[in-house]
Amino acid sequence: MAPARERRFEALFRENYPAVRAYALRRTSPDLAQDVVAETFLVAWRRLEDVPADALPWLYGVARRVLANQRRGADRRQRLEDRIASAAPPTASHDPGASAGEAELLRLALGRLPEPSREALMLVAWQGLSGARAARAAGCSRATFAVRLHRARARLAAEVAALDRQPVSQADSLEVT
Amino acid sequence: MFVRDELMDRLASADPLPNAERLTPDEHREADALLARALATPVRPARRAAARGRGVRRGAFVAVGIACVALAAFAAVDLVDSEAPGPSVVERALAAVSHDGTVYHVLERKRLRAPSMSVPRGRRTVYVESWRTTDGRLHQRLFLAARDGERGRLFGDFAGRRTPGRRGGPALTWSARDNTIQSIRFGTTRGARGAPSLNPYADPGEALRTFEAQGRLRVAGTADVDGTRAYRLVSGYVQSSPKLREKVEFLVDAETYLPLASHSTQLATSGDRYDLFTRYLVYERLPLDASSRAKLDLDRHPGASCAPGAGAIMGRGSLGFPNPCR
Repeated sequence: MAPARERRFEALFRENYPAVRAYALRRTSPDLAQDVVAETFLVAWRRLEDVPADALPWLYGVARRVLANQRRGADRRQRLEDRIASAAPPTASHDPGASAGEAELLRLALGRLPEPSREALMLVAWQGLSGARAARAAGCSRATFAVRLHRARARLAAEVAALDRQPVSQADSLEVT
Repeated sequence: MFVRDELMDRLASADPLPNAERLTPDEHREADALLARALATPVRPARRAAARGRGVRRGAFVAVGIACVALAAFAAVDLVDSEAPGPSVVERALAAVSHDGTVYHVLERKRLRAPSMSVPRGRRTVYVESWRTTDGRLHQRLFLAARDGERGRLFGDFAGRRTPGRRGGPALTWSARDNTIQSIRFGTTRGARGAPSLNPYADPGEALRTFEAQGRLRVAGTADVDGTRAYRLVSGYVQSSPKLREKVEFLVDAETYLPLASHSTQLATSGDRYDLFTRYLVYERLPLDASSRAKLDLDRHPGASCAPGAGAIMGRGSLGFPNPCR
């Protein structure tokens, strides 16, 4: 194998592995996340000539498709709700008393959105992408992504408001269903 | 394009894994392992051009592609990818220690950790210098470690030849304790099931070949051995004898694929555990000529006496060199 190709891949890997791993961990269980990351970089290794200079959105796109493939045949919504319900609370840098409840509420609301909306919001809010990069990761045009994100925001706000209005006991029961 | 607003800020704060991009040392090692597996995966040229413009078949290509990726990922985990073009790391490591027409010269430092055994402090570390060929010739010199940890005095010498098609063969051994040469027969323990790493006469090549033949050897990442980049080859546990399970980890040079270090762990049914750490200080191939061939014979030990029967060999086969006691 050409050393230059290996060097390029190693640089790509070192630069993007933490972000791709974090992307997968936020969307599936740690065990499956490892498989997703492995498959994503295997695709990158095989198709290194196709990887653009700004590789991260491309890698997110591959990881998204690998995840979708993994989830085929399963109840996605149930899986994500389970994942979100069992997610670790924010670290101590946050004010646990004030924000833990709201964080759970937001994650619960996020889990109720359709997958494209959820992905758009997570790419922007958790992966920190913006503009064309988020659109490339989502596999659509900038305009399409802007519309999708706008609608996703509105849906998220509606879900948060709906959950906020529910009695505590009912909201709690939603986490385990 | 995107205006951050209060809702998006709140959502960002609800990230369940806000520090997921920061890797722990263990996660760094996982990353190194994954990188090594990917780099060791043969690359097949993409044939996407042929699929262009064939919309009807696109689904089929996608399905085949997904299957290929899944299969490739599976193969990358095991890395015993004999069907793929180009040798894998395991195959290269095996080839590096299996050259015919070569004398392998190895100097290794072995350290045993066995809490249940009362090994004298001065004997926990030994140095072994050996010369061997792939057709069964073996000459080993054993040294105790000096107080400073370096190679100390010679305490044993051994030379023999494996009988073709067998694991053992006739040999002569010399002991510094009584300066005596004895005729012995060496081989693996009765009941052994092919995990020879703790066999004192086994070489890394034999261990690698045995584990690979059982399909147990896989690449588990990279490591740094005194500044040299190495691949980690690991086996799962093997039932090496009726009362012992064993696993082995090898570190092979990422350029030459020759062994740099190994770590063998044995678990006994009694609960005892033995760890053998080996560092290959020298691992080189010498051309097979008169000079290197002479290294395969038992050393001359002035004044050595011959034990009864030392003039004859035990069992079938031949020593491969003149018997000084005959």
